Amino acid sequence: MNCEHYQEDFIDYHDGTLTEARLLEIREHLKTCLDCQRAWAGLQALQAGIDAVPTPEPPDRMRRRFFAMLETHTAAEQRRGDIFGPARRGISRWFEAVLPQTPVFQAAAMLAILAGGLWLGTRIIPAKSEPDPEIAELRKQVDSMTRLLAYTAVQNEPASDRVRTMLASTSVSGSGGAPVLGLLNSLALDPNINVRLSALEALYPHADASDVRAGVLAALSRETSPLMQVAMIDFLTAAKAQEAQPLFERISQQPEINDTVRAAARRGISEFL
Amino acid sequence: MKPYRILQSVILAGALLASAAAASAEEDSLTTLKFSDPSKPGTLKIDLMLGDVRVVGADTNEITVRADTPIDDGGKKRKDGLRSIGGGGAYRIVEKDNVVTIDAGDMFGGHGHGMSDFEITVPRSTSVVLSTMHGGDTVVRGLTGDVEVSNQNGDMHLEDLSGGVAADTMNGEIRAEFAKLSEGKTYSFASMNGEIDLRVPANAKASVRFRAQVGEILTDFEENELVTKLGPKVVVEGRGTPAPAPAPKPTPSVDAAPAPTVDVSVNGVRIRAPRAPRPPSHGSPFGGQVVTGDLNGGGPELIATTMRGTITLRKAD
Repeated sequence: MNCEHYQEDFIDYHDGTLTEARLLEIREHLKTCLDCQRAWAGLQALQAGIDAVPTPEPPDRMRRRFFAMLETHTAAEQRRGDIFGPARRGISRWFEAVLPQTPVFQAAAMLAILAGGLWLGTRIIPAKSEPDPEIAELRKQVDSMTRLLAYTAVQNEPASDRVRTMLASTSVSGSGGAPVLGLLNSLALDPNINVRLSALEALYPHADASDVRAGVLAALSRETSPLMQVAMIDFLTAAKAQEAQPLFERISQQPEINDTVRAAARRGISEFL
Repeated sequence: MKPYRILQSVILAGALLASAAAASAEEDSLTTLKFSDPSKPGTLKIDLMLGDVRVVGADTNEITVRADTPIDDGGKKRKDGLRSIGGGGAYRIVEKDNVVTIDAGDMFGGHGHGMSDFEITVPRSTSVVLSTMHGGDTVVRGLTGDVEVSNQNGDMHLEDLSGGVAADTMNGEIRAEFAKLSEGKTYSFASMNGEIDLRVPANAKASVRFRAQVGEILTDFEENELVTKLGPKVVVEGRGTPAPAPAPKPTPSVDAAPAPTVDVSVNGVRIRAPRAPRPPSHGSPFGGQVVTGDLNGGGPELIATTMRGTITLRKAD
């Protein structure tokens, strides 16, 4: 499915900088396009991750030194006139040529620089005996964003290859680790039903893990395909996921939802009783 | 007078037919283009709101797109000196990085009205990603590239394909006929309500997993050719449920699985990984039944999932 001409404006759509006509066009498209809904959800998750990165406060001494440097630099510039103007313009042009122009690639480049900086920082700064909770949280968020970007790259593979990757994951043991997270990512984000079905099947051996059940429950709340909805409901029912009961009840009471899905939800509720 | 009246009627009917044909010809469109690097397999992506699509592989290096609606030419000046500034073409074609994209997927705004029938010829090695939002029948034939088809309501006929396949439909029937099943490829089909009819050569090797909630699972392969086992009811250990029945011992055909490794992609990097073991004995994701097994000793994965339809695996004629 080609939705690139919508998705390339998602950043501006998020920022509210589009024209009214373009904004309405994208909004109407999002109502009906599952791919774009997934891409939009992914972008929102990415944006939320970026927003959640804490902004470090510079210490007072650094602040004073910075403003002192700024004053010195401003005074020197005033004395010098604009003899470096052409050089500055040249550097700006060089940056324009080198840096990506597409918002998605800009975000990816920013994350890559962020991850690189984090890696470099951990190499240069000696490790503390007690891990800094803020650094740990930042690392967790970067890991999460990196996974999202990596998943976007995986989506370029043919769907039949992605199905095979899901099936190969059934050999993974244990309830954690990147393979299980990859399966949950595929279940929530992959646009192809065959891939999502295979991901769900590969998650069965890990159904006794609470984070796996939580991931399937979260994916179910966003799923629009009745085929997948029934498969997920039966997964959660088989896993005795009592926490899914409120969602099952909502599904069973909504007349606009597919009859078979509602029947599956009712069957799940009866299993929990 | 009578002969004149007949003649008048014939002339009038002819004129009407001619004008209809002329109008039809005006509406039709034919586009021929090439991949930017014809030496490498390209990809054809089709995003359609509603309409029939037929994609056929041929010994050619050109892509030919014939539609029953006019193409959006980007407002180019026509022979009569006019150019469209609105309400014009119904679809758009773009080629970039060996990917040809046909976009006819927007019914209510933006581009076109999303309703077109397409007849498309592509080089055999082309991969196809085809999505029809609301319906229309789909035919894909004669390709060695990977095929991904998604359709809401129409029927799918997939013929003479040897690349990997992932096909899904909500209400339509899927019929797939293979000249061969290629090692290292996966063939996966899903339908909510429609029948899934798979035809493979009598000597084809495959590892099958078929899942159906309500419908039947049928085959004309003999028991010694397709060795299957029926999965038990869904049970997840460690969640207060009864322990599952002991898994049956693997059949000799499973032990004799020929390929111990399989190509997989991790974060876009292709690696060889151990072949996944037989699927866990958890039954069907739908609480229905699952059949797993090996056809002629096992081979590429052949997967079919349906909720209300019937799954049939036949020997190809």
